Amino acid sequence: MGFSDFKKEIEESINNLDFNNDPEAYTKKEELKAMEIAADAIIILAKRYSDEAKKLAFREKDTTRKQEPEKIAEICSYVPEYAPRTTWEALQHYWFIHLGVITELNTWDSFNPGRLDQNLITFYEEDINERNISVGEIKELLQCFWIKFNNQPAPPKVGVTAEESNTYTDFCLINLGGVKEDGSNAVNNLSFLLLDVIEEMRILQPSSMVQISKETPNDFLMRAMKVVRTGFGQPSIFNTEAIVQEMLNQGKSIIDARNGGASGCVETGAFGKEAYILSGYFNTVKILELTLNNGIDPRTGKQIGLKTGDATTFHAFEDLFEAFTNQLNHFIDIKIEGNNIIERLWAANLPSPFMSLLVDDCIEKGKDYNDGGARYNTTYIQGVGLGTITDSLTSLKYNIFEEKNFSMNDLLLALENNFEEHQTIRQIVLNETPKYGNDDDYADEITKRVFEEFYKAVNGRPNTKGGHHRINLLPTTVHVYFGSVLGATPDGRKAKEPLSEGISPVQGMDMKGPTAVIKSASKIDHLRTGGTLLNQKFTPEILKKDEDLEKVSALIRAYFRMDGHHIQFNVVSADTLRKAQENPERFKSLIVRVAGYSDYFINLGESLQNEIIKRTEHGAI
Amino acid sequence: MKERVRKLREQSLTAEPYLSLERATLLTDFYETGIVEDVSIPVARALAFKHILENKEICINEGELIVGERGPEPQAAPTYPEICVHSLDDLNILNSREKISFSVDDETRRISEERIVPFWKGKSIREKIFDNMTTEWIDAYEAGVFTEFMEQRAPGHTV
Repeated sequence: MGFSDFKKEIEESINNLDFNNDPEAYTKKEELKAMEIAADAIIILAKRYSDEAKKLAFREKDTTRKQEPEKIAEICSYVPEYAPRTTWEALQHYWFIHLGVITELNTWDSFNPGRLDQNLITFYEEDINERNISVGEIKELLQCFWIKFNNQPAPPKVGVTAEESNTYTDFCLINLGGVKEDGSNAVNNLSFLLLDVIEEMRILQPSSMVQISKETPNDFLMRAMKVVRTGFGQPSIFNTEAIVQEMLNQGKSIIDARNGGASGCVETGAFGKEAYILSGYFNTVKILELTLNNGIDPRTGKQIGLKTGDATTFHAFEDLFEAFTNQLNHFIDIKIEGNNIIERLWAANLPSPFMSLLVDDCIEKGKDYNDGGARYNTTYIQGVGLGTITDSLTSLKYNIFEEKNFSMNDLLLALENNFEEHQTIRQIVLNETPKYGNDDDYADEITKRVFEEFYKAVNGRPNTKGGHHRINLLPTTVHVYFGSVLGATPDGRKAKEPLSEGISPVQGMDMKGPTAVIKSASKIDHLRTGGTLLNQKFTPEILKKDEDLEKVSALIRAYFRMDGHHIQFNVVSADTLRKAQENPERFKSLIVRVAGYSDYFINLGESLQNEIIKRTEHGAI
Repeated sequence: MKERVRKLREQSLTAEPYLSLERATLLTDFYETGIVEDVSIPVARALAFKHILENKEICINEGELIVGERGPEPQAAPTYPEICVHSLDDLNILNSREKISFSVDDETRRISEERIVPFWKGKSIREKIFDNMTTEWIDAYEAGVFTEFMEQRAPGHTV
């Protein structure tokens, strides 16, 4: 739709206002007036580009070279006012929308053209079949489009926000593949062409992903894996059935769910119809530290949590787990109370009329995106440190309450001293204790219990926009910051070291190969989340042959049959990463997968670099 | 890869990210007119948006087929003082930090100090958020129990 169409809808919505019976009629009218102004504004910007292109054409004497700016001028005078008719117009149309969103406010995640192969396929086919445009020309347009994203670094962040998301990447995630509205395979010729573009461009922005459903043909997954093999962490791999079921579980219609996908890092959303706001990361391991210290933060000595009891008086693991659950609920309450105030502050002070034009049903409702105008309104709290919290609780259960390898007192002392002079305890907790990521039910049962408690604490609680709070599990770079505020932990992790990342096992603790990892990771119920993030690291040697890629593809399909949401791979050796750390100038173009995004290795902080180096390197599939 | 794409890609990869006050200045110009006092908040926001798009620099990079930059040129990063006011200390940190830095020139520092900070200090949503949180919330935030996504960036996980 063009913005002239939006303006017609606005007019209709204004005409339908009932000032006699609707107490919000005036408020709605002001919002709709604002949307109309915003629609005019983007059309004005496009015309200014058109004028500039005309000037360039005028200055160009060469008649062939004149044609290009003339064409740009023509396109920018047509879109986004009117709906696009060709691939070129569609890309330019979207780009103006993108610019509008990221200029109006600095929204978390820049914005996103969504299911690009679906959105463009009609234009593409008409261009090829009726307009005599070649595949090469369309590829060139797509590549020019790609560069526009990379030209826009994420807005400058400071303080904790910089710590939790320390990257120039602004998380536009292009979706390919998946299913159509009727549930059939959506992969088309353009999906393959877009993979060529991703491979050739090899740039950080935009990020890209493929949705793999049970209907997705193997050749598409194999083509995607060949791009993954080149080792820059793109595209990431998602499970369409999980995405759809997650949305159904949240009460969305099946059509909206099938038309959706994942954005940002791994976040599930009903594209064009949902405001799914990530409200903040939640440090599950800090909750345990507070529990072990009776609500006192050992870093500051301040009582910030509940007094859940002196840890040395717990007789059984269940006493400890109950105290942990109480602390967890206490801090989730605090977070949600804050969220509900903050949502109102945004709605009252900084509405976003431009973005409201783009998301159903803001125009129809006469309500802003920030005030519940979208069809679906979800507020997420993102759990962090699943591997570290599992291994820590497992260690407490196993070593103190069951095997009685040492007392709680001994352990607390060891933690306080960062395991200095407590090497025996550290060896036991590191090497002789069950760990998440090895398909060991002893540890994985704890993962499930932590997941269930976190889910119960958050899921279904109302936000202020007619929607609900939900959970997802991802970290960006916050697992480094969250580790930095923590002392040593019962799993053997030393003070200030990073936590585990996403739902991945603790770095270096998954020792039974990738199949055991996916089995552990699939024991939590992904379908009740809005996204989870699992990263694995392979050495380049074991992915050399196509048959190796087939094995990895089978691993992915197996994980997805067990309802896993997302998986991604680093294809790089620890040796290469160490060399890059020593000689950064020689590895300027080395890109790695960090969490739900890729980044230049040399742009990562040292502790994040070390964290990635320490991740288990699978040398066999 | 065609020569055109190669050149544009090279330009994108080699340009250094820097802080641009184009948006912040246009926004401040608009708010200083006082028009915002006479209209509703959504309309004020829309008029501010329009003012920015009517007056911002138009940038067409050589050879590109899809046009439009958020700032005056590639890798220019705008600021959003209605959301977060960067102090001079913040600017120094952004300019000098080892990773993910944004260069800040003297002119940018001067405009920040003389216009942007004095106008927006006390008005940003970041300040409103922290002012409205309870002691318990602040304690938990400072201890690293949770982070807050909305304190420096706007809601918008949407496609």
